[in-house]
Amino acid sequence: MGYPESIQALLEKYWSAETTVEEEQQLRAFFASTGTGADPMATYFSWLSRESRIMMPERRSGTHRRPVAIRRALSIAASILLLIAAGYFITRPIDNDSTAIYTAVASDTFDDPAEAYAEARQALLLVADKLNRTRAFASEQISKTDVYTELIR
Amino acid sequence: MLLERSEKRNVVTNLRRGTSMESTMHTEKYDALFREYKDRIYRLALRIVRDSMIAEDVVQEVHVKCWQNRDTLEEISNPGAWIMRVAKNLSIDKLRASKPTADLEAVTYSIKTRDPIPDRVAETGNLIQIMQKILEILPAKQKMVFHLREVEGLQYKEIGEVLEITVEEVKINLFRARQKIKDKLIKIQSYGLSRIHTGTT
Repeated sequence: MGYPESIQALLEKYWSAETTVEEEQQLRAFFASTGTGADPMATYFSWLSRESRIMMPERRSGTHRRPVAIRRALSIAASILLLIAAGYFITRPIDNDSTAIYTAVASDTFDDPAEAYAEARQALLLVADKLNRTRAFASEQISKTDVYTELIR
Repeated sequence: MLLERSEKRNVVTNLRRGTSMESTMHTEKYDALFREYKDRIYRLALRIVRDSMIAEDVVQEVHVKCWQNRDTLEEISNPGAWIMRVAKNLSIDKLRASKPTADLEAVTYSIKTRDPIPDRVAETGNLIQIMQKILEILPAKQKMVFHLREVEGLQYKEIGEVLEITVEEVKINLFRARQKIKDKLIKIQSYGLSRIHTGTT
């Protein structure tokens, strides 16, 4: 990219960390006037300007963030409740209404071993097909990032 | 010395409130100082911890620390640098709490998101993403020096006060950070130009 000599000289100083704050502001002003376009330098300086305009979000009135300690306590309490609930459902005695579920599960089997084998094979082939497709997709995506990874190494 | 009637009224009011006039002045100065630095604290914390909610927590905790020290703010030669130093230290503590095995001088952050394909690197939005990631992989000190200079516009001496390092160390870290970014920008620039010259898409 062809920049004016003065800007070129300032850039050299900038990369060597020899510019003053005022000179850096000159560089930003220059690149702000050129527009970002396809010039990475202009985009870089524009990005820096944007970063300095970040402000802490204002909370809307009525919304209240709980302090960190209380949030942690609530999450611990929720975990304990979950464990208690899980423990209750696991250990509760089986009532008559549940036997219907067990009967239904018990009936989902095959009398003929050949039939059972065929069904299991079919299910496993389906899973394998899905896995292969997922692996192919993942490989394709990973290969796309190779050049990018090289750029930032 | 006899006080004017209005001054007496103020003293009485403040005594009823349980504060002295001097303390009220300190509180007002503290309020003004904190308002001025709130966003800078947030940006610095965000740069270090990379989490908006945690950065907000840092701001609140700095707020508390400043409040606790409001009566001694006048004795501090550079209260702004002091506030930023407190923010930096709190942010690093929070980062260590979430990554206890991290070596903060050599920490690098893994790239979590899928990145754009190469022939789009010249697009502004993607280039900004790349710049963010380049900054992420700088060592902690270089990153903080870079942030304080490039984003907050601090002088070398002020940066040194915030980070408790010498001006020379500030220059060295800034030089190294900028050189790394320059190398990447040139690589990106030449990559984009080579694609144009070879006519590849």
